[in-house]
Amino acid sequence: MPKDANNLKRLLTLVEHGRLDDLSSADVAALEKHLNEDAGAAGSIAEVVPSGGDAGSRVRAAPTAAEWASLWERIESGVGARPDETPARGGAPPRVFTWFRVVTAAAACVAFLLAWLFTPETRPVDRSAGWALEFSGANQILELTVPGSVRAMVHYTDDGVALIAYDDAADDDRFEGALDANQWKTRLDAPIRAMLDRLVV
Amino acid sequence: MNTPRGQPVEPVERSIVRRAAAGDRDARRTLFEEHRDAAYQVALRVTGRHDDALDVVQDAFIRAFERLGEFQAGSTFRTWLLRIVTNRGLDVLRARKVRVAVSLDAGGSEDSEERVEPASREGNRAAGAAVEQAELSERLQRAIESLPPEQRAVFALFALDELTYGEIAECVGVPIGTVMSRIYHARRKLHEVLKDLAPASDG
Repeated sequence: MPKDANNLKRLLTLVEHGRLDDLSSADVAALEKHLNEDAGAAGSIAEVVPSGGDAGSRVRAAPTAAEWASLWERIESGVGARPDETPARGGAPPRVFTWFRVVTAAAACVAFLLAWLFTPETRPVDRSAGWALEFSGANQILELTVPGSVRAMVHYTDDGVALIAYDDAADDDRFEGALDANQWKTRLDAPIRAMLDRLVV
Repeated sequence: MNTPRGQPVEPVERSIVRRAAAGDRDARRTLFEEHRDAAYQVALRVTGRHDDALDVVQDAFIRAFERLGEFQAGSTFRTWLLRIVTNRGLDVLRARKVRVAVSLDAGGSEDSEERVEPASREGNRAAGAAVEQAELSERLQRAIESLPPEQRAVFALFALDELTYGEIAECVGVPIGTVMSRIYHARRKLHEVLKDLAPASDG
């Protein structure tokens, strides 16, 4: 036991001194476990800048001045596109789904049920259900705003999957149903974005 | 050598962030100019493509500016921004759904952009050096692209050479031990892929 402890201490010292290359894979596995289980050990290197970004840091590319200028303009217009840059404190956000937290529990039941019934193996859902479902295992949805005619709900399952469910009879082509995590973003970038005024993930 | 660093949010930055959150365009611009390079370097290493990296940086800044009111002083703006950049970069990778298969052994991939003829090296030394640098950079980037996404994200942050283990962990949302392990394995893999670039064992 003390021998193990001494060994871990020695390995930690190597990391502190930027000598990762002196470790073996087995050392790293042991040290990873130790660091992740012992907050004190993790704290001892938390403020250390790991050295040796060597290879990666030699990849040097930089946008041109014109590209930076253009990027800045796009950022400003993107931020400016939102009417309220500074959310009013105390006031209700106009179109953000503050209410969905309240109804999420009930809505989740509906969404889960529909997901279970209509999306075996993440195939497109039967649209007659009136709901379309999206799955995401990769993003955290921070904010969702939709046009007034659309109702939408977000629910996170225990394993981190987010369900977005909405009902909008106006456009049948907007959702095709449940998609896997890889497809999610792609789909989101085109037709779904057209439906959702704003989705921050 | 490693550099121990503290990471308090400096009062100056806090003040700038506060002004930016209140809608001050100059303050936003200050934050942008201060952090755009780091954001771009991380985005480039994660996505592997200049245009994608610019898109990621743009999106990340917009999101960051929109949510400045939620920024917690326990973090730094840079760490917070880079977390968004990293997540967005990984989103782009997932959306792309294409793992770029790179065969470094074959001396370059078919899809690499115009390969520069090495023939003029003798005649024009400066141009030759630039070509070599470009080729090196290209190979390094391709090697980074061969890393699994989670290693790539950590490596991209590590390669900035200025973030602490703790900050990298905060950016990617994994424990410090895992950060250390991913850095280790990413470096080993890169060294393996690029071993012919290592300072010569023989000439």
